[in-house]
This record gives sequence, C-alpha cells and structure tokens, in this order.
Amino acid sequence: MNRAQFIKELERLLSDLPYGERQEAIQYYNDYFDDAGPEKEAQVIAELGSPAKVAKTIREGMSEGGEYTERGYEDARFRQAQELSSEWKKPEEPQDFNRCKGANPWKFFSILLLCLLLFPIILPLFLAFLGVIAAVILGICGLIAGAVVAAVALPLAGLLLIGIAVYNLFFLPAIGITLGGIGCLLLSAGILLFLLTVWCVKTILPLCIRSIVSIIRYPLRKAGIVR
Amino acid sequence: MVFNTGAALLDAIVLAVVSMDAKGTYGYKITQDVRQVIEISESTLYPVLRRLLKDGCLEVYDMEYGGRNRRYYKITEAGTAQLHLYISEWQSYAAKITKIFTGRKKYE
Repeated sequence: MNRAQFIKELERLLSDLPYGERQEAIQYYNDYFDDAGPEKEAQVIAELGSPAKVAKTIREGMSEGGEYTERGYEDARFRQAQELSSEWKKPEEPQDFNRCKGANPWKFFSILLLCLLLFPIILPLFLAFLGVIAAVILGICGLIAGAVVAAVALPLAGLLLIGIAVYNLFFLPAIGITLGGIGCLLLSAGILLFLLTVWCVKTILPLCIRSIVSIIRYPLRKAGIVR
Repeated sequence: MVFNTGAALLDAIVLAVVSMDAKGTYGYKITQDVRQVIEISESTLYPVLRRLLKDGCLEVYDMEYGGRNRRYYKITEAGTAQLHLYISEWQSYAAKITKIFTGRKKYE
C-alpha cells in the first residue's frame, strides 16, 4: 500500500463523518506525509498501521467518555479488558499492514463484481431473510397476544365458574363442588399463565431482539463500519 | 516507559511543544517533538490536536510552504493559561513525588 492508497482508503472509511471533520483529518495526514517526505513514506505507513486503525483512532477521539494516553485510546469502561492485554502491541502492526497490502482494491472490486453477478440471487435471499425476521417477530407478537388474552380469559372463566358453583351449591351440591373445583383450577392456570407471560416478555423477548441485532451487526462489525 | 502518560499530561506536553514556536508549528513536527519525550504512536496525536482545537486551546492557520498549504497549530491565550495551570500542577506533583522518593533513603 502506498500513500495515495492509504489516504484513499482512510477517506473511504471516514465517509460517514461530517464533511468538515473528514477534510480536517485527511488534510492532517496529507500534511503529515508531505512533511515526512517521500523517502519516509513507507516508514510512516508502517508506523501508522492500517487505515482502519487510523480511522478507529479518529472516530474514538470524536466520542466522549474516553481519553487519550500514550498507549492510545483508553476508556474507563473498557480499561479492565484492555489491561488483560496491557502491553502496547507493536509487533502486531506490521502484520496488520501486510494483511492490507495490495489486497484491498482487488478485494473491493471482486466483491463489487460478485455482488453484481449474484444480484438476482442475493436480492431474493435478502428479501427472504427480511421475511423470516418479520415472521419471527410477528410470530412472537402473536404468541404474546394469545398468551395475554388467555391469561385474562382463564381467570375470568374460573371466577365465573366459581360464582355458578356457589349458586349451585344450594341446589345440587355435587355439581356445585365439581364446578367450583374446575373454576379454581382455571383460576390458578390463568394466574400461572399470566406470570409465565410476564417472565417471557421480560427475559426472552429482549434476548431475541439482542440476538437478531447481533446477527445483523456481525457482518457490519467485521467490515469495521460499526464497533 | 513504565509510567503511563494520562490525557492531561499528554495535553500539557502537546501545548508546551506547540507554545515553543511563537509562529506556531505543524503536525509532523509536533509528533516528532512529542516522540522525543514519550513513546506515542503516530496516529494518537491527531485526536489530541483536534480536541485541543475544539477546546479553544489551539488555533490553526494555513501557510504556503514548498508549493502547498501547510496547516500550522498555534497556542491561544486560553491555551497558554491552561498550560500554566498544567505546569504549576506538575511542579507541585513532581516535587511531592521527588520528596517521597528521596525521603525513603533515610530508612533504607
């Protein structure tokens, strides 16, 4: 990777930043290369690491909450995790740099070409994927709605039966007691269902949403678009 | 380096380096000067400069150099005040640490 490719890649990685911010950063690194001189170009690139690393540093500098130290960005929330690998890993950088070397423009174009060629396959797959997610969400909503209705209807029916049972107790005691027992059963089943529904909504639903979000985020995170 | 340089100390060092040149100085030179004192990766400095700029401690201007525009960073009045605060804080901090270090010899 040479300087032009480095800057271009950096610009691409920062493309979602406000125009002014992006220009500032690009101007800074262009200046940096100019002042380092062409003979130090490779050294500067090796020292900077990959455009992705530089972009990450710029992005992190724009978010509040963390602070910069000589070891780079540090956020109190993540310090513990960072301390586990606390040594600032210098040897990793050239590796990182090698990985990007030369591969990137070709990779980009081949992915683009692949996308174009596979478009008739990708689009239905994507729609199917969306459909599945929508179906899952709707299904869950349906289940919850059903459970809620049942949780309300069962105790109501139970209470009604108990009422009838108390009335029948005076004329037909056997039927009255039977109805009363069934009524109590229905009432307890309803309360149980209600508790179960509340528990499901409180624990299982967020879990589902979180897992769907993480499935969608996974490719984006891999591509370095989101952290 | 055994000791970490925190955000405040890094700010102070950058402000001090920039203030050494009354006309201001540029990114590459700031990085080289800071790297003479502490180990710092080259990509770390841009966010620091950006933040100091946002806080009004630094200002920028572009000047022609070798057929191109070079961005210069210059310390502002607010930046100078901040630097003086950092320096006095550092002096009292360093004095206390030195005292406790040299004081230990008596017991060893």
